[in-house]
Amino acid sequence: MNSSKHQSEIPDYLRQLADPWRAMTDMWVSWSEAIQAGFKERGEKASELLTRAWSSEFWRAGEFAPFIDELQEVFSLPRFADVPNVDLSALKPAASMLELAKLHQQYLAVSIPLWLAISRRFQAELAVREKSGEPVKSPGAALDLWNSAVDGTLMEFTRSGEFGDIQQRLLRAAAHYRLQLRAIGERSAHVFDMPTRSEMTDLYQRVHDMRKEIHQLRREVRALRGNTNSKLSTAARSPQDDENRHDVRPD
Amino acid sequence: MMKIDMTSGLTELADFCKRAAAATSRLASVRDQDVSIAQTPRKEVCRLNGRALYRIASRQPHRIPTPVLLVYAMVGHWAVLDLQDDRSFVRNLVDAGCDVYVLDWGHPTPADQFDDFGDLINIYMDRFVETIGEQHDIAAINLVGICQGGLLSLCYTALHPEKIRNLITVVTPVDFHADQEDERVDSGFMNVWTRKLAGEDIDLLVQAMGNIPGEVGGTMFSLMTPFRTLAKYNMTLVQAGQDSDTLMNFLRMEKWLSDRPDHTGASAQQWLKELYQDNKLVKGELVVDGRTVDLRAVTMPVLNIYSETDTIIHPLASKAMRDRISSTDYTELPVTGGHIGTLVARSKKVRDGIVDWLATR
Repeated sequence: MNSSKHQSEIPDYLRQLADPWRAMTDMWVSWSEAIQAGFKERGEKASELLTRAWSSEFWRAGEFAPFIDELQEVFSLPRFADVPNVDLSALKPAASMLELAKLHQQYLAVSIPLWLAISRRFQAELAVREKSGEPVKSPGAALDLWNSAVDGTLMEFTRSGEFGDIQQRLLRAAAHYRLQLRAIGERSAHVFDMPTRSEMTDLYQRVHDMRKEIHQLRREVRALRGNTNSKLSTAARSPQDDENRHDVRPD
Repeated sequence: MMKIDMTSGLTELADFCKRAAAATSRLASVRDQDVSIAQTPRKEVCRLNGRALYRIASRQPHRIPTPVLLVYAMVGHWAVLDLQDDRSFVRNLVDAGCDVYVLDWGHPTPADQFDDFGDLINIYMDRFVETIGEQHDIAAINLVGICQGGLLSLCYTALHPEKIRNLITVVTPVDFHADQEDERVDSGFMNVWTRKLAGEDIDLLVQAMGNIPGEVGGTMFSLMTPFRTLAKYNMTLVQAGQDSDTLMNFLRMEKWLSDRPDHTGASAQQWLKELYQDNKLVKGELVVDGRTVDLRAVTMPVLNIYSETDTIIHPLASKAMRDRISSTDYTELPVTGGHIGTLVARSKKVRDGIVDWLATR
């Protein structure tokens, strides 16, 4: 009652000015709260991702496809029936390709010291020959020595942790790239109403399980008939299994 | 400082160019259809889902009455066992009086990607062993397993000992971590490489590929001997091109290498994870179709052939079989030569070793 009395005491012209101001303030407070909620739920992770994206180490290490996954996870929203879903997966093949390109660069980066090591090994071997009184005189002998240095150094390198690490990352990047391409292929297959790779794989799994089951049933039938090597065992087989029995001409 | 005699250098260069021209000239007269492998006549006895059983034709009396089934690896085509007339593992055995059958794993398609060791051993191998048994009216046959095929044969024998009269393994890995006891820079690359991967990497590879493409195996073998790979189409080819026989031998090997079948995904996962990484067979933890492979069930005579200079399968990995099986008639036959060299050698040592051993059992 007091407040209404008090309100009634505020001149109309002031209320006319205050109401829009209050409405605007409320709106900004609501947006501020919304932004705060967004930051609270996703801000920390998003800023961590952005920080990572600005780091030179991130660009050196590659692994962009998992980064896109994390980015999508941070900014994902509930699904709406009539709004197109924001899908960053189109970026993934590009990210995987970037990773592969990055790894090729790293191969080049490790190969330069490798050739230096080969040269040092070759020089050392030349010095040993010189000291032992058997210097290399012909280009053929020098080539043999060089080849031996290349062979030994490359074999040691392919067994090293450094090579293993790059190989592992190459394998992962290539696998991710292939999976991303498959995802694109599957979307196209849907458009053209063709079976997708996933559907085919599911079918292969079912066929495999059925084959196994048929084999097991055959075994049980044969066991019931009592004689594994009898003619009956042959009869228990489906004739379709043995597609062809014929002489094979050498290729 | 290296002092090169320029005159001898020029002479060597001219000689190399001359040899390169000679090799080019020979190569120019060869077409792909001129390069034939797996020429020994054979008959298809049985076919199941793309896998086939062949019987090698023979006019020789069978000195060894019990038939022999050869099981090669899935990572390469069995044709390497019959590369050419004078370098044929298959023909050598036939000429020595064996009745030889060969298992052909074929070229797995995406539909085969779920075939695991259980399928390879308990469906295909078992079916073919039984087929041979039925044809000859016998309960047990002789089994010869080579490389990965040796491992499958060993597992088959442990799971179905009553069907195998004698087991012969050739360059077969049993202990996949044995290379760590005797590390050599030129041996066991596959073991080192696979152990550096995580199990999830192999799962990811199989998820992405379905079957493991043959080219992946080819790349691995190329990395194993990097220089030989780099020099193959220059120095080695020039050398091979100096006479027609050597050139054709080189080209036949190339033809075999270019035809690498894919490896079924599920069995590749077991091969790489459970064997190369976890070494489950020698630990007694390898499970095939719900049954643990117990090598102590191998009680029949066993001949284990390995190469001391094998760069792919470390000899210790093969010799580890001795202490794992229960056979009281176990023989080791060490040979020289590389992994494939053992199979394509002109030497009759392997053949004689097998046939003489079988003749007394």
